Parts: sequence; C-alpha cells; structure tokens
Amino acid sequence: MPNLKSAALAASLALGLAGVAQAADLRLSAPAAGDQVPTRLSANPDTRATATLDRTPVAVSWALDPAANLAERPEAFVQQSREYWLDADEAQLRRGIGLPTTAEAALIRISPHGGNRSRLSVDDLVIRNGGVELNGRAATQSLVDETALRAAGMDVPEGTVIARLAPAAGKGRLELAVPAASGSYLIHVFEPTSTAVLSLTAARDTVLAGQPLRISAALQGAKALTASGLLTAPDGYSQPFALQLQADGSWQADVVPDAAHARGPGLWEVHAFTSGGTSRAPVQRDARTAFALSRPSARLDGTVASTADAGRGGLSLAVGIEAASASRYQLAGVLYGTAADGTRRPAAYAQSAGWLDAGNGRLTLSFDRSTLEAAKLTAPYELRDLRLSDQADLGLIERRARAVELR
Amino acid sequence: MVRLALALSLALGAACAASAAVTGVAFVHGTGAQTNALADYWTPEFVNSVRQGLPDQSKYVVVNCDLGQYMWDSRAAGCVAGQLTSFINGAGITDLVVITHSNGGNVVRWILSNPTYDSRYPNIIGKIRWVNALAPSSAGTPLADAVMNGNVFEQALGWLLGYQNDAVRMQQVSWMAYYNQNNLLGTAGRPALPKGFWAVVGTDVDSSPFDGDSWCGGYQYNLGLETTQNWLASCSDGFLNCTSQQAAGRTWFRDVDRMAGAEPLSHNQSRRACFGLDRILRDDL
Repeated sequence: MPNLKSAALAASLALGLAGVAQAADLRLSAPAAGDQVPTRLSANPDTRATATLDRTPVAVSWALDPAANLAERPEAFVQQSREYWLDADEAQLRRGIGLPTTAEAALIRISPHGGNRSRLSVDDLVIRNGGVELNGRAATQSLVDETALRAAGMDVPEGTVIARLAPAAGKGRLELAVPAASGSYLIHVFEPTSTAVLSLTAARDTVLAGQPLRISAALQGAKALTASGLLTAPDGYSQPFALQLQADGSWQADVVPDAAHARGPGLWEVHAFTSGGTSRAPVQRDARTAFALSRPSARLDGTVASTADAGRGGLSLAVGIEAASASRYQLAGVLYGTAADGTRRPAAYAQSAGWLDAGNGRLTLSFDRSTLEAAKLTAPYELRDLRLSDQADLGLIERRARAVELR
Repeated sequence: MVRLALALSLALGAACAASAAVTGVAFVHGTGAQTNALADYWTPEFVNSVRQGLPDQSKYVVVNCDLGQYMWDSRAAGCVAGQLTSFINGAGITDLVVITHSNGGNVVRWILSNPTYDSRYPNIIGKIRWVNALAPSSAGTPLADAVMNGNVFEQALGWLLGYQNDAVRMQQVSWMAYYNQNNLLGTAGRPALPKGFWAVVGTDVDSSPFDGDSWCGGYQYNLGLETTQNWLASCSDGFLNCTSQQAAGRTWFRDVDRMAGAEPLSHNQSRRACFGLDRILRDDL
C-alpha cells in the first residue's frame, strides 16, 4: 500500500494556520477522579541515575489527527492465566507430585534449577491418573527439548523440556513422577483449552510512593478457595500480601508497595496464586501483572503562563513545577481545539524536558504555528493529558486528564 | 533555559520532502547484542537487495547495538541514536527510511515517542521519512511471559530461571501494556507518533517438512514450534501474535496479501529475502 503511506506523509506535511489564545496567567483545573497528583514531595535519595542524563533542554510538538479518539486516562491491563507453577525437589518427583488439570492435552514444562544439570527424556516420565499408570511414551503426544524450543523463539533455561499430554492421560487429579529425578525442578503447567481462567488486575498502572494500590483477582470457571499475593520490586525484593474474599467470589487487596525498594529500572509485579476447584476437579492458577511505583520528587505547582507568539503565530504554555530533587523532568500534553460541531478534538501533542534544580521552575510546551494550523480547530483550546515525569527513572509523577482551558 | 529550549524546538512533521533529498536506509535489528548484524541477523542477500532501491546504494547503515537491554538504555536506543546520527551526518542524509525487525521496532518507537529524552533524537526524527517495522513486538509476546514467569520462584529461592535479558523481560505482555500507556506513543487511544510507523505483519507459519517454502530463511520444521504455538493466537508469525504486530502505528500489509504465492512470513522470514519481501522494501525506497 505505498499510496496509502504517501498520502499519510503528505497529510503530515500539509500544515495550515489557526488562531490561538492571548497571553494570560492561568491556573490548572482542579484534579479530577482518576488523576494522579502528589500531595507531598520527597527528594529522591538515589541521585546516580541523574548523572548520565542529557542536560540540553528540548521541546517539540507535532500535529495530531483531529479525528483520533484518545483515551482520557490509561486503561487497567487485565492478565488472564490458564497456568500455574510448582517448585519440586527430587524426593517429591520420585514419589510423584500432584498436578491438577481441568482440560486434556495440558503442557507440562520441567526446568531443572539450582545447579541441577539433569536432562530428562520422555522415558523418564510417568503419569498417573486414578489407578492408571502410563509411561512417558503413552502419556505424551510430544516432548520437546531446549534446542527445539529456543529455535522456535522460546528462550527457556538449559535442560528444559515441555511435554504435551496425550488424551490417554486424561485430566483431573494427575500425578507426575520422575523416578530418576535428581535435584530441584520448576514445574509449569499450562492448559491452553481450559475454561478455568484467573484474571488479575491492578486498578492503576502507576502508584505514588506511600499510596495504596488496589489489586483484584477472579477465577472464572471454577471457585477459588484460597488466594494469596506477592509484590516483587525491581530490585528483587518480595512483599507478600493477603487477598480478601469478596461477596461476588472475587478477591481483593489494597497494598502499599515498600518504596524503599523502588530503585533500579523496570517495573514492579503483582503475583496472585489461587487454588480451588470445580465440582469435578481441583484447579490451580497463578497470574501476574505489572505496575510502576513513582517517587513524588516534583509536582505541578498549579501555574500556567500562556503566551501567544505573535511573530511565529504559535502558542507557548509555561507550566510551573515544584521540584524536591534536581533532575531532568519531562512535561507532555495534548492540546485540544474546538471543531465546527462544537466538540473538542485533539490538535497537537507537545513534549518538553530540561534540567530543574530543587525549588520552583518551569517547563514550556510550545505549539508552533504550522503545528496548530494542521488541525483546523478554533478556540477555546484545552490542554489535556498533562503528564510530568522524571527522566532519571522514567517515573510518571503527575497526570491530569484535564489540565487547563484556554479561552 | 526556556529560550534555549525554544531554539531547539522542532516541527517534527516538517521533514525532508525537498527535491534535493539524499535518501538513506537504516536497518535496526531485534532483541540481542549484535556486532555484525549484516551477516548474523539480516544476511547480505537481504540488505543488498533492499538497498538497490536507493539512488546511491552506498547510503545505508546496518545498526549493531545491544538490544538485549531496556529500550531506553544507552546501549540500546542510545547506541541506535549514535549510529543513526553518525550515518546521517557522515552521508548527508536528509530522507531516512528505517527498517526494523521485532524488538528493533520498540527501540525506534522509543526514540520517536521520547524526542526530549536525548538531544540527538529530534534531528534523527526530523530526517526520518517513515519506519518500516517488520513484525514489531509492539504489544509484547506471551512467549516472553512464559519464560519469565518462573521468576517469582527465582526471587523466593535465590536462583535464576528463564531470565535472559531485560529486553525479554520488557516484552512481556503486561510490561508492554504499561510502556504503551506511559512511555510509548502510537497505540490505540494514545497520541500518534511524529512519523509513520508501518507494520508488516506475519500471520502464519508454514512448518511442513514437505513444503519447501518452510525452509526460506532457515526456519525449518520443528516440534518446538508446534509446542510454542500453544501460547499464541491462531494468527501469529510463530513468535508474535498479529495483534502485537499491529498494536502500534498502522498496518502496511499482512504477509499473505503481498508475498509471492500468498505465503506467510514466519518471524525469522520477515528479516530475510523470502517471497519477495526484499523487493517490496526496495521499491518503497
């Protein structure tokens, strides 16, 4: 479709002019439900990440398609799981370890760990179901090793094998035995066709240090009798938490992540572990999702100075920022204008970053003339989806769906 | 400071449509550290075929960086920015087409989404005509989740399982959902990228031992593929669901709509001269 690509490129270059607001000193709108606004500041004790930051201020903007439907705020991600994991030692595996399954043809991944160099073959496996015992060849449709899995793009650890159970193995209260087991193994059971699904979600994808995060879990297709949770921090720290049973059968927790472990790149994770069953079989499921914890090292101070640049025909919005720590901060926002039918439509996106010392400073979002012309929108304008981030750790500190109206 | 910032302000949409444009093409590889991506990742056959579309075939660069890191890392996006800047300045490029594969799309999308993170980024973005993203892992892959999920045990027991690198960690589905909502642009509901990000989508894998097409790109029949497919949707290239490949920017084409014989492109084949892909990319320059 080269013609489509060429047309899109041409559209991005066809910039037209629209009139903009007058100079004014403004205030940010009151925060709305769902906004993320720090109520107090705390200096970031870890200044190492700022040492390598670019010190050159940069500001950019570009036109957006007024027909685009932009989300007011991030949507919560929902993780769904038909899987669970077990840690098993050689004694358990030699004896036989229970693997509840709700559907036939489950995949069982076995990964040696803890210095265990053993390599299992199909002849090492035994599957028991009720009074029936099947050897590995009868119980599995296939068994693939690490070489084949890595060739297919799955970077499994050394010594890993994945067995796909045969229909003859059935489902329900299965038992896996490895009479020649040696050392420790991680057992991972995945049931791609199961109707028992654990859903896990965090109410927000970013939480400020010291604030609680609501976590919800629900097991569909079965009843969860127990549930527990664990937060893991980017530095490897684990924080267990309890999930409480709700009237509708789901599970919920409000957890305050330990901000002392908010160091290092990467996200935090929420892990949930449930076990329960249907009327016919036990069910076990684990799930996890990700979120970020941000330190409130700065915040918007509420001031906005709007300047119409007569010479260039553009608009500048200098947004006041109060910083507790020196760093390179980033401000981004979407300027909306008014369409002929009176609706607010996106006109342009702007981003600005620069080094701010502790104290009060400003970052300016600049929308140049050509960028504003492209949208063919008119006043009143409104700055939405205003976000303040610390580029040292990429933490999103403040986010406001509706920031300021420009009349 | 504000004046300095304004001086660096760029209208990123106003690119390089000048009549005297000097066109170049850059190849950005996927996950992993490369020191000779031409030979080890793309193959000379593919790169040499694509660059035949340039007015001056010497105006190309094959990036070699450590894309086993988080996308924003100095060894990942920082390295890519450095090599693109050197190429742009050294060859006088004013019109740059960037071809990415897999996670290379995320690294370039980081640059496009965060022009203020590094003062080299705006100049690169200003020169880019568009990005041709071959099988981009824009929404991650369940296979990354599958190999990383044992890490809760790793943390509890103090051993390392499944951990390959930060790029694999980053390409877990829930992690990419976070980054798409907060650190990257161009997905549904988010502001558009400053330049076009055009995805080529692999929809299926031919893995029959009796089908010679399965061998293009060296992606032969194996049982591993049949196993890993269980983590993926019916529409996938064997590594990424189609929904992930289509999550950012716009779909340029799906393999079966443009490839010779309506052949699908597996994840390995979408960086090789298979079924006419190289000629389509060449003609796009």
